[in-house]
Amino acid sequence: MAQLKVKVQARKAATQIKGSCLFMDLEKSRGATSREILNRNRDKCLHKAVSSQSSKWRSQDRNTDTISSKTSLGGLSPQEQAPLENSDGLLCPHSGVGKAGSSTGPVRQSLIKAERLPVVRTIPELSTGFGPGARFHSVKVWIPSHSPHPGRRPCVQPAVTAHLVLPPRRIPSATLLEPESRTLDSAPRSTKRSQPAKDRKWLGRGRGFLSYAPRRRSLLGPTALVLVAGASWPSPAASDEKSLKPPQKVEVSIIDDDFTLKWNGSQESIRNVTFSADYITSEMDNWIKLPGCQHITGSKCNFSSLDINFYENITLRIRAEEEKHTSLWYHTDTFIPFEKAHLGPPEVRLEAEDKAIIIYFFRPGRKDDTSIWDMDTTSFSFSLIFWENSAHTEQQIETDHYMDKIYNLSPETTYCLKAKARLPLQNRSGVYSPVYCINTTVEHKPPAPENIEVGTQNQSYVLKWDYEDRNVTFRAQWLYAFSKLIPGDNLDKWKQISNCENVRTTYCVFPQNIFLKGTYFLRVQASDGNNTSFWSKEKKVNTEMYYTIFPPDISMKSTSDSLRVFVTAPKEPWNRFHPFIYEIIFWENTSNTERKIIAKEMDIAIPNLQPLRLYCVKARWHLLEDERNKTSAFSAAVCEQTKPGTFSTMWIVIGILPLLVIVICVMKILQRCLNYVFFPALKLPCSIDENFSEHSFGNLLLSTSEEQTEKCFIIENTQSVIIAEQTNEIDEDCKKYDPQTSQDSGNYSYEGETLESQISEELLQQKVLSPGMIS
Amino acid sequence: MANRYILQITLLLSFSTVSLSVSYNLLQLQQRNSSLACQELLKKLKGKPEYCHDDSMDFKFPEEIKQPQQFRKEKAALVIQEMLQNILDIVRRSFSNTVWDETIVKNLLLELHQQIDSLKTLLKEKLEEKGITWEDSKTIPRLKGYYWRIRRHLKAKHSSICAWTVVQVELFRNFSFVNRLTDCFQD
Repeated sequence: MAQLKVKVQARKAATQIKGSCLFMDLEKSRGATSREILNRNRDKCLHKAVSSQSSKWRSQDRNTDTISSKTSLGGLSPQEQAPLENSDGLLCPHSGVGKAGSSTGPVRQSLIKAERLPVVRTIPELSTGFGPGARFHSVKVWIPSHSPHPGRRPCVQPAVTAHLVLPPRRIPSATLLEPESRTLDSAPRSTKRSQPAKDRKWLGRGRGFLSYAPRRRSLLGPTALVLVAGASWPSPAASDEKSLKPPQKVEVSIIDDDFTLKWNGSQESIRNVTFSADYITSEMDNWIKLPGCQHITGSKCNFSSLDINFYENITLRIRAEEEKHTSLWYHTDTFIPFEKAHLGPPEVRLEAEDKAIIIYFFRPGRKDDTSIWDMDTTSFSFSLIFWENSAHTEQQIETDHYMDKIYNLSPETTYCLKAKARLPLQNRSGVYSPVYCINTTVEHKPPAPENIEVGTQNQSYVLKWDYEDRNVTFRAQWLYAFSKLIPGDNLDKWKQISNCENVRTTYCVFPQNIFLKGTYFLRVQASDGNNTSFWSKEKKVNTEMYYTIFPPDISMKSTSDSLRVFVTAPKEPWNRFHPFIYEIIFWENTSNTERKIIAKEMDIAIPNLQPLRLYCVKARWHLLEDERNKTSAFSAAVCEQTKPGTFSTMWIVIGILPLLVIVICVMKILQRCLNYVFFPALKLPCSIDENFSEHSFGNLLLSTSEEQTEKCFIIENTQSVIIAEQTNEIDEDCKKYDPQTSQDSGNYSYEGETLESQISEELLQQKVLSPGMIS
Repeated sequence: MANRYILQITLLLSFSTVSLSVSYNLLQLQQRNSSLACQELLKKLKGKPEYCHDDSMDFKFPEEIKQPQQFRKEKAALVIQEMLQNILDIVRRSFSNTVWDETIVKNLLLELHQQIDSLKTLLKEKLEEKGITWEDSKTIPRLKGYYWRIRRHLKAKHSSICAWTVVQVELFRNFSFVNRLTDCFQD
């Protein structure tokens, strides 16, 4: 009996299946639409999943042949019997009873619970429905897709279907038709970069046991019908086992308008590996295919036709592809094309005159307005190295203009140059162009006019030049200076000055109001009737220069030894010229010697002046431009007197007076103190004064001898008690009582007994009143 | 005495600060006058036809330039220069359209060119002397992206009158931003 061995494997070995249900239908159908079959199968799936009648499916039975459509299972190899237990459940998109469908053969189903791949299923016996010669046997492997929504159950869709035609018994081979493979592309996309090869991919591409090489024959024995693919496993499977790697070392290179994406395709070129890229900018929501970089076989691609905002962030991604497999995306860093771009060489065109060379520059990049440099057209500057071919001394020239001329050359000489473009505002410099050489022509007759000068006279400009011959007529032309910032030949933009057409003099006069306020170029050409000369050197004219400059206003501030001068800025229209200087002339009023100061600042101090002198100042402007200094008239003189003396002497004078006052006060206070201490004004009372008249106070103060001291109380009145210490002999002193207040007197004359108690009482009283010693 | 020296020293110090800032002060004057002149000229260009209302668009002028308080003087000068260059670039393309009076356009170009020239000289001088570190910020690309969008609008509308009117309004606004940047030159 034939056996069918089915191996289901992932591209990468042992991939986890999301969801744990994998099932396989093996059926024979005769004409039934696969959709109906699918429905039926799906229903079964649902039924089985929901009812979870695992017992039915656990089958050790190897012998089952026929499978009824309800009870499923059969052909489970012992080691891989699996009750269908899917905790997630399975949600089948077309639930409900499916159509019965047209007649189909018996269906054999296997429900496998598998978590890891590869899974090998051997269907040991083919039922009678399956047999040699049967035409359609479809093997479908279904796998639940990974549900992107956590709450919802995964959907089951048939992942891969292959149709087998089993050969008649005698011919041990099977033909595998082109598998009809369906992917789970309709499943919601995962945006995670790191997710391993998606389920849909490995199955959807008919990998695993199914080969997509059509009509491959293999010689297999009838007994062990390893699937056709089994035989052919080595070749595609071997390479299929290695998953496709994304490209490495991806680089973006932008030189002018040439946008290149380069990478290192790690795959060998034997395989049919192509690469495709997408891009996304910050203004977009979705990745868009990068034009010019789709299905590239090499290792670089050019996407110059991209029309985007060069000043916005952009990210690219690229992946390798191989028929139906793709690698992961490799994302480049986000970049701004304008910043990443490099300046290429400019284009240079030369034209020779006899003593000059005209150089026409073209900025790098495309000439039209789709170039990345288009918006910077007026900002370019060109830096060129110029030399005479034989001399090799180089000259470096910088110019902002798209047309420039090098003068004072010799006729019939070869000159060479190379140029590079620069964007000075962005500090960017390009590469040098190749070397261009040109020969100057023979000397040309008539020669060109020289030394053009512009002056004013009344309300007109006077254009003057030098010329040697007499019999020529001249004409003059003018051009807006900003035209030189725009590329292309300016031939058509030079305009004739009407008063300077066919003049015979070496000057011409034209009114000022022809020219609006701005910068222009003027040139003159001579003509002797037959031939015209080359154009003269172009003279740059700023019309504002020729307006009258008004002198500045001066204001001054004086100190004792310097003057600060404030000069006002030039008024309109001169205020746009910052390269101007002031000239200040000052002198002392009485003397005649003038001194000059030239300064840039508007605020100047003139130092080292004498105090209390009158100084006068006048000023004027000098405008420096090109060779021509434009000067204003002097302003009116402004005089100011310097302050008297120095501050310090004044301060001294001012300071001394209060100082003196302070000193005097201090002296007075000191004096008072001294007086108070040494010569006090206080007087002792008379009594003491009398008493001590013999003894000077000096004794009191200076005596140091300590004599027996006794306290002596002198009673002046009953209310006050005066205690005085007396060091002298006290007896006699103390006996001198104030007769008015003393109460002693008279009481001691009585010495009667009867009175002793009275006396003692009185004595006691005395003692109380004046507890003193009574001798 | 000491007082005299102090005066000298302070004057000397004030010189050094004054001399560095005087060119910016002057530039400020120049730029203000120039911006005013340009705005006057822009106003003189043909007025806005009424049926152009719907065409007003937001070209997303970079926000950081609208509030340039943090800008150093050199950065402000660079940004002004970039703006003027781009305005000149847009205006010069208007020669092909018949909407605007050519004389006024030429006047405008002359005015812009004058200011660009004087800024160029100043920037060259300043950047050489200071050896400035160039701006890493993405202000300039964002600014250029803004002008790119204006250009694309013109292309998309095939340089119609309405498109140029929108551009005229936009350029007028540009000068008010330039004025804000000019204030950065103030000490």
